[in-house]
Order: sequence, then structure tokens, then C-alpha cells
Amino acid sequence: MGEVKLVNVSKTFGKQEAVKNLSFEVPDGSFVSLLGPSGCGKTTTLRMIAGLEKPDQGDILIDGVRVNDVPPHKRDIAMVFQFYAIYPGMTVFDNMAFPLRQRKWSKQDIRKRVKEIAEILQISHLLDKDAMSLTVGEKQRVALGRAMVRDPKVFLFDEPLTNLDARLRSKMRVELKKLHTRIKTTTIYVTHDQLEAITLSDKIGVMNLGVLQQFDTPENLYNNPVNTFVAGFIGTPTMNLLECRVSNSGDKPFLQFDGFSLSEEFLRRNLRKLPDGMELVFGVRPTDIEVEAGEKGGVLHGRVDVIESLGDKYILDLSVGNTVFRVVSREASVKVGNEMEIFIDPEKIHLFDKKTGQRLNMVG
Amino acid sequence: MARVFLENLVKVYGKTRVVDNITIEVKHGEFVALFGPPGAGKTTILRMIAGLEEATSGKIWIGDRVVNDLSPAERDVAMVFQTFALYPTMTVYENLAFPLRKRRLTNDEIDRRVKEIAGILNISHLLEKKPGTLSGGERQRVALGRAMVRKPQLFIFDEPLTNLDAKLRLHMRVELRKLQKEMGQTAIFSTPDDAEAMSMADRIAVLDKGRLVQYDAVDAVYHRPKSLYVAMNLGTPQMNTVEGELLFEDGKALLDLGFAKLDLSYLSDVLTNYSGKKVVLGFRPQYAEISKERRGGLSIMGRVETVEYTGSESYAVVSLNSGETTVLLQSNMSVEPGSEVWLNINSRHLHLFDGSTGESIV
Repeated sequence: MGEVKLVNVSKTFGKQEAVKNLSFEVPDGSFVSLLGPSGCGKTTTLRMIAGLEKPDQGDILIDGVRVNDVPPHKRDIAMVFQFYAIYPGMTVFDNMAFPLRQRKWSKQDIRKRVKEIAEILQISHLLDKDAMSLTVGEKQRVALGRAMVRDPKVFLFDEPLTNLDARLRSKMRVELKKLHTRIKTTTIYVTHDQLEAITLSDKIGVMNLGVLQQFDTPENLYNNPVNTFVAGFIGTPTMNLLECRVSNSGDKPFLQFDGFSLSEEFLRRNLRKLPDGMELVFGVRPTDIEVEAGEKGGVLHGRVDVIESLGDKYILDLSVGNTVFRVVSREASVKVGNEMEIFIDPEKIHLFDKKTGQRLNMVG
Repeated sequence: MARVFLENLVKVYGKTRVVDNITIEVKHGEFVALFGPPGAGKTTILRMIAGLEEATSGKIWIGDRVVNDLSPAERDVAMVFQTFALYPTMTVYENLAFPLRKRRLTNDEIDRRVKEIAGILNISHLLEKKPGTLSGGERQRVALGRAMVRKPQLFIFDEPLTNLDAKLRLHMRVELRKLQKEMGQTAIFSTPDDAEAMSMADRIAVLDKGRLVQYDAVDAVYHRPKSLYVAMNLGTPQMNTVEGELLFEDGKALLDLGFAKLDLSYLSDVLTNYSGKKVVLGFRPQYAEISKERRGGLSIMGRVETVEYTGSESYAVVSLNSGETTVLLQSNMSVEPGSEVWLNINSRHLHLFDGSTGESIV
């Protein structure tokens, strides 16, 4: 078992509130990420769970037991920092046996345990090798194996892939995902990389300035972000977030943008429910917009300013009035200066209150 | 007009040829990326163009002059480094004005140019600030501004985005490309990041240990890589590869992967010289489809290991006997980890590479 629960946890450093009234639950066997920019409180949260920091307020529970006053080594938690932090000059076996020797296990028990874990991690054939001679992927598994031998209830990871190059990072991500599928140890993973969080996690807690913004599945964070922060943080290329104003004094309500407008009819939302003049943020992902060369048919009409190639796809910057829409297109023949028709699926539009940043759930 | 022509350029340090006979033409107004891993020779080439290193042999043309013997200042080249060297005690305005003051322009002229550049770079509101109070992206733009303000014939950027955080890097990618197109000056940049090279450049020079392995438009480098090296180093997720042996049965080409045979009869004519040879099959993740049943001659059976959801798309990691492959999932498709599936390769986007040289065959 390894269920982690935080209830109204707060932590202040001097005058700075690093974590504010944080609550979430990590069910046994699940993979949860804490995601946010630097300074959002994610690492402080992880350190509190590990017992390296003490909360000022609130409770941390592991398997229903309050651990606020339990020292780190008695929490049955393994904190894994960077994966390649293994002991040089030692064999893989010795690296993995190290935590058990420290705990004064018998030689026989150590041998049995290391072999069992090596089997799970598929590194049995490497046990006699010098750990430094391994590939980065193998080192990652050894570092993980060293954490696993003590059979912790929870793994804590603090930005483990940050210092790797992009290609290796994506390989390690898949490795980690496969491992978790196999061993199912509860895992809490801190990262600032939204793609890592999305690909790995069952649930993600998005944090900003010490406050939990949304705790949800990757699909929900992507499809139904609760505010403009989450909307802008999740997904690449970043969601188009455009300011606009409600105009419903006439018979046909619309949203007024800088240089164009969108009708209530197109938006399929009842704008009369909102006060006239209310300021909104309109969101649509670059992957939820389609474009076609031509002069007619689209809801908007734009001019191509910049084209960035992604190989088989392109990110187009389209200017409509004074507004720029970013769009992902597969059309290879588009040139800078081309006029394009823009098609937006109204189902894929997100509306937020500009003042509070909160999502407006108003369909129909 | 600044066309740049590197003609048989060589740089030798001790016994190492760090730049090995490079010939590249950059047209006026073009934005070209030098792409490769550390040690490929990118920075050395840039430094030779700027005049900070001497070429061991070969010629460097900028415009219609050979500049090998000209000092850096005489070359009319502006180089922007990875770390933005700004004068910390000067305001942004003074930082931008500095290169012009050295050139003894009048105060009015300086003021006009600084404001023009600040407008283009969107930093007009920062002119009175000191660099220390700016964000990384703002400092980057000021550094660019200082290079741009004297309107050089040629811009050189050495890994311009390397030290920025992920979000800012994506933003600056567009900014730089837009700027280069607006200014219209020729520019060359180096990068170890394939996404950066593809998104910003008109053409990419792919380098491997000092040698030029392909110099082509972005689409060509991506869709028609000349070698396995180019194929594997450009594009995310990476191209999938499986090694096999080419066989002919009844005059028809087959690729024997050991655990499966693929029907390459439609390529028989091209492959006649490769009978009995080792070849590497390559396909990008978006050019294979997963199905429950076998669909044709280019199908391989595998097991789904895991599915990676990325928000806009999902990829299945499928293990074959030879190793793992990554396949883009069709939006309506869902697969269970552990299930057996068929992986159907799109014949129009299939690559074959020579197993010993890595050169592209198809």
C-alpha cells in the first residue's frame, strides 16, 4: 500500500508563502505529477512529503497515518533525484545492495532481494558490470533499482530528466512509463515539463505561485482547463489566448476582438447570459484550427506572417486584424503572405473571464 | 547584397580536421541552420566566417569579396553568442547606441536607429532600464538589437536559444524567424536542436564530425534524408528503424527481418544490386498505422508496450522482435497495453538505408 494524502498544507519561508492550503490525494499505485513553473511550490511540496521540510499547517498522511512528525527515513519513501546519480567504481550489484548493507541485512537476503529487483528491471545481466560503463538508460534503471530494493511505499522524483538532451529525455520517459505499468508503486513526480507530466501521469496537479490550480487527468487538463494559467501551460504549441469583449446591446450579440468579431451564432454560446462589455479571454488550440487557401467559407480570414516547420506539419502565424492566430497545418504549399480561410470548431473553443481568469462553462 | 559562399573550407587543430572540406552557398536574405551534435564543427565554421578563427584552407566569400584576410571588423558581420554580453551598467538605450557611437554617427542618427530597432524588437518600453532588471527573453532581444543596429550584411547566431527556458525558446524561435525575414539580411545560425533548425531555417546544413552530410531545404532534409544519420537526427519522435536482409524470390524483392518478411516487390527494380545485403528499414511514427488484422505486404506483428498521450495526439510504443517502435495512433483508435497488433507501414513514406554505409537507397 502507498496512499498519500495532503490536507490543507501550507508552508512559508520568511515572508514568502511557498505553498498555500494545498490538498490532494494520490491513490495507491497511481502516478501523480506536480507541474508548474519554477517557484510554484512543487519541489517544496515534494520535500514536505519526503519529510525534508515540515509544513506550517495542514496534515500529510501516508496510508491514513499522519506523518508530519515522522522523520524521513521512517516514512518508507524513496526519493530519486537525477537518475544517473549512482556510485562510480561499484558494480551494479553493489550499487543496488548499498541501501540494504546500510540497514545491516544478511548477505543471503541482500543477494535474493537484489536479484529479484534486477529481474523486474531487466538488468540481471548487468549485475557484475561497473555501473559507470552502462548506457544512460541502464543507469537510470540501476538508480531506480537502488531505490526499489527497500520496497518503499512511495517513489518521489524531483525533475529526474531535466539535464538530459531532448532525444534521451523522450526515451527515458517511455522507459519510466513502462516500468510504472509493471511495478505499480505509487509515484509522485515533480516537473516543469508539461509533456513529461501529460505522458506519464494518471493525474496532474498544476501549481502556480504556491496554489494548486487544477488537479485532474491529463485529458481533462487538456480539454477543460479551469483557468487561463492551466490553458496556457498545458499543450504545445501554446493555446491561442485572445482578449475580447462581450457586445450584446444589439439584436445579434457578438464578441469584439482587436480588428474582428465573432457572432453568437458561430460561437453557439448564449452571450446574453453575460453582461454587455464584459472582458473575456477566448482560447483555441493551434491544433483545433483548420486553414485553407482561399477567400470564402471560413469564419475568419487571415494572412500568413511566419511559417515554422515541424517536419511534416507547420506552425503558421496568421494575422487577422491586429490579432495573431497560431495554427498547426499539414499544408506544405503555404507561403508567407498567402491569404487563408480559418475554420474553428465551436466545440473546441474555451472562454474565460478576463478578470478572474476562470473558465466560463456556458454552452448552448 | 550578401551572398555567403564557403568554398572547400577546412580547419585543422593539431591532427583533427574539425571542419572537413565544407562547401555551402547561402543566398542573399536566406536563413540557414548549421545543425549537428556537439563536435560537428558548427561553431568553428561560424567563427571562421566572423573572422575569429583563420581557415586552414578554402575560401570564405561574403558578397563579392573573399574575406579570409580581412579583420572581423572589416567583414561587416554581426555575431550573437549564446550568452548575451550586455554592458550591465548601461541602460538598454546605451547598450543599443554603443556600436553606433563607436562609428561616430550623429546623436540624431543614433536616436533614430535605436528607436527603430527597439520598435522592431518590441523593447521600446525597456529603453531606460538596466539589463540586470530584464527577463532572459528581453535580454536576448537587447543583445539581438545591439547586433542589428548597425545593419550588418550578415548575421551569425551561435546557438541563440540554448540558454533560454523551454517556453521562451518556443517563443523566440518564431520571433527570430520573423525578425530575420523582416530585416531581410542573410543569416546563419548553429543549433544542436532539430526542432529549432527545422522551424527557423530556410535550408539546413547537416554536419557530422566536421563533414557536410546534407544541405537542403527543410522539407527535403525531413522527407528525403540522404543517410541514416540525417534521418535519425531530425524529427521528433525519432524515425523507427529495423535491420534486415534483402532477398529476391522469383525476381521479387523481400526484406527479411528475421521475424517477418516484408514484400518490397514494388521496389524490385531499384533494389537489384542489394540482393543478399544488409539494409535498414526506416519509417516515421506518423507513417505507420496500427490495426487488429494484417493489412498487406508491409505489415509486422508487435506487442503494445504502452501508450503515450501528449494532448493533441497519442503514440503507441510497439515492441517488435528487434526492438521498440513508436507509432502515431489514429484519433479514433484505442489500444490496450499488452495487446498484439499489426503495424502497417505506409509504402510512400518508407525508407531503406544501406546497412554498411548508412546511405539512403529509397
